[in-house]
Amino acid sequence: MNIALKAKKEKRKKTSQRLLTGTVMLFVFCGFLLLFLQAPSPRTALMMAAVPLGVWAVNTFVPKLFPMDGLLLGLINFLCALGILVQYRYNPARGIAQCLNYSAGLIAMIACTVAVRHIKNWKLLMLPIMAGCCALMALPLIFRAASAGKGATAWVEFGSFRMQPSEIVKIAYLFVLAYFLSRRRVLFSMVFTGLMLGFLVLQRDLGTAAIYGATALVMLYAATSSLLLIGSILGAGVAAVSVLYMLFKNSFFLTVQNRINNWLDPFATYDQLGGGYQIVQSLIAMANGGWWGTGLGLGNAQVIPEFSTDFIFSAVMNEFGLVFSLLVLCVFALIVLRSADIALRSTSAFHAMLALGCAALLAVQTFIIIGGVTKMIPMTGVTVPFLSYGGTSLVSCMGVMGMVQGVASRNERILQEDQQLAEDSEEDMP
Amino acid sequence: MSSNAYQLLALAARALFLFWGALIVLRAAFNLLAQHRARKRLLRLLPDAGMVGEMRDVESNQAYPLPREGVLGSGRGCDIRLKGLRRRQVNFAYVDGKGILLTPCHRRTDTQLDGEPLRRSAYALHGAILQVGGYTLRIRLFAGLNVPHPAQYQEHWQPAYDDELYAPDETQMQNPYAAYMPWAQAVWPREEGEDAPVFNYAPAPQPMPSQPPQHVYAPPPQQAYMQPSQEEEYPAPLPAPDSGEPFLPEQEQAPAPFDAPRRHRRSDRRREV
Repeated sequence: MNIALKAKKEKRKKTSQRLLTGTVMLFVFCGFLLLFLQAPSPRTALMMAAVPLGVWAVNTFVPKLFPMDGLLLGLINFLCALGILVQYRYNPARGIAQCLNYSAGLIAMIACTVAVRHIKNWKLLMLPIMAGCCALMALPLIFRAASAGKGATAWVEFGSFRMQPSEIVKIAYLFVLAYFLSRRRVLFSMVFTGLMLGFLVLQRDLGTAAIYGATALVMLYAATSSLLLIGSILGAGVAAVSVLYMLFKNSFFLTVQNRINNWLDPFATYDQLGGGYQIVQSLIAMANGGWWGTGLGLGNAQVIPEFSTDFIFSAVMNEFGLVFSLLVLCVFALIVLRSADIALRSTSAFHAMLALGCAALLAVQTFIIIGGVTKMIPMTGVTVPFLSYGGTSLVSCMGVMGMVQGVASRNERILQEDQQLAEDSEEDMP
Repeated sequence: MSSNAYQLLALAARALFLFWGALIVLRAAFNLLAQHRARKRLLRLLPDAGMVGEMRDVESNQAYPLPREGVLGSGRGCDIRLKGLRRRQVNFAYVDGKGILLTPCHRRTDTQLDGEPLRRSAYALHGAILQVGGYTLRIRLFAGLNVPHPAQYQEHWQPAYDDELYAPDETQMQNPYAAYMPWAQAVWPREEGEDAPVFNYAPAPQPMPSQPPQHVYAPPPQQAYMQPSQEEEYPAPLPAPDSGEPFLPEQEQAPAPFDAPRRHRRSDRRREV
């Protein structure tokens, strides 16, 4: 290819990414400027300078040090910056903590990118990874950490440090599924998925179990292209859940039953403990925001008990409005599309399955939580990727995106090699 | 700032946020589309991108593009589909620096690589012949790929040997490598009374397998690379001191010039037109 043409294209691509980065920086800067004008403080002034600069630095320097997809990185940074802004607006301490979580997430993303790009022999790692998955998933059952009143026992506490192992296991789970499905070990993949789902059901973390199950189904279909198999698994799953629900209706699945009742009619259980209070408040907050929102700093989403984690989307909708929230959903859709595109470009089955699994996981998680918040489906305790407060969630989401970045950089490297070989071949021709 | 002024400012800023939000989404969407199109254009220029060569049916001369990784079989999801095979017959994957790793999907299989039954994973190089079902496929790899040249393995190649040590005659006792290295006499001149140097006897030269017909190129038996772990068991050949050419025994001729296929270019299509 003509060198000048190549350079021109590269320049155009860079300019486009710079414009995207610039827009995100302006957005975040103006958000913090408004908060500064509402309540001037040195901390807010610092955030006003630091967050846009951080966005610029990450978007500019990280792809140079570690080959990454610039567009994907820009979109992820926009969502993370929005999350930090909303967290800071309601609780400045949480906003700053979210910045630190983002730094940890960035490290996880880079680590996953490098691992996917450079590790060639995954076979050796599979056994330790699977053993680690089982050990981590068993931790909450052993420790029986806090949050018993909130339905799930998925947390582990070490002093002041809290973590949700099922979020970290997501990354390893995708590696294991992608590896075995790319080698057509369908039965083994199903057994491993069943084991993970068993752990999650024992932890009563049904939202995460739904994410794991749906992701496995998508990957299974991609690997086998057998609708019969998927239909059989779905049928067996529904039958098993129905039987379990009938058997343990008043003991084990009481929380699930409550959540379904809250979903069907949240106003009926509005004033009961564990009732539909959160969903009703979420609906009111979203309705209060209307099409264009109440304005940054003027909303009242703090009346929702879990507004910073599970119901962060309601808080965004309250202050920024329905139209802006739809744009946020578009950003999620673009990230999923880009990940699926990267999966389709991949030349190796393992990497294709990995990127597809990441895209499916992100799509399913976003659908489950936003569907729950908007009362489309029963509410489950899942975080909104990149927006919700929480170190484990942000680290795992960015790790998952790091895997996609690794596949993207590998694709790019192979394409460059092909291009180079074709050019060499052209030069050799008489 | 007073509460009312802030309220006005925040309400006005909603439009700004919305504009920037829309701008981010639109820019990202157009960027995504533009990159997708650019990639498609690039792939049109490089029709062989993602491929490492081809498998050519020797009888029908039909070529099947060989991706970096895939499955050979008759199933719908196979990358190379041939009628009459099992749904999944052989997995193949390009391994940088080694060649095409062929792995049979079933234990009982009639697949053969260069005349040897393919019972476990084995590497195939450029020119290898894969017999699967009723097909005879020749693997052709693109020039420029980082794969060993078949001749590199030929240097290590030893003829078939049935575990019987070759009993050398008197002449060969004096210089066991004489048949292979005529120049060795000059390197190790023998004098009367001097003990014979200790050599690791090379196996007896066996007759070469029957040559295939001229129109079918078949590489010499490549035992060594089919079992890579055995490579180190053979001593590396000594270089000839006076001639710069690589040592090859008389019976073992170097393969034909490396006729690796070239990658296609857009100009090829123009020529065809």
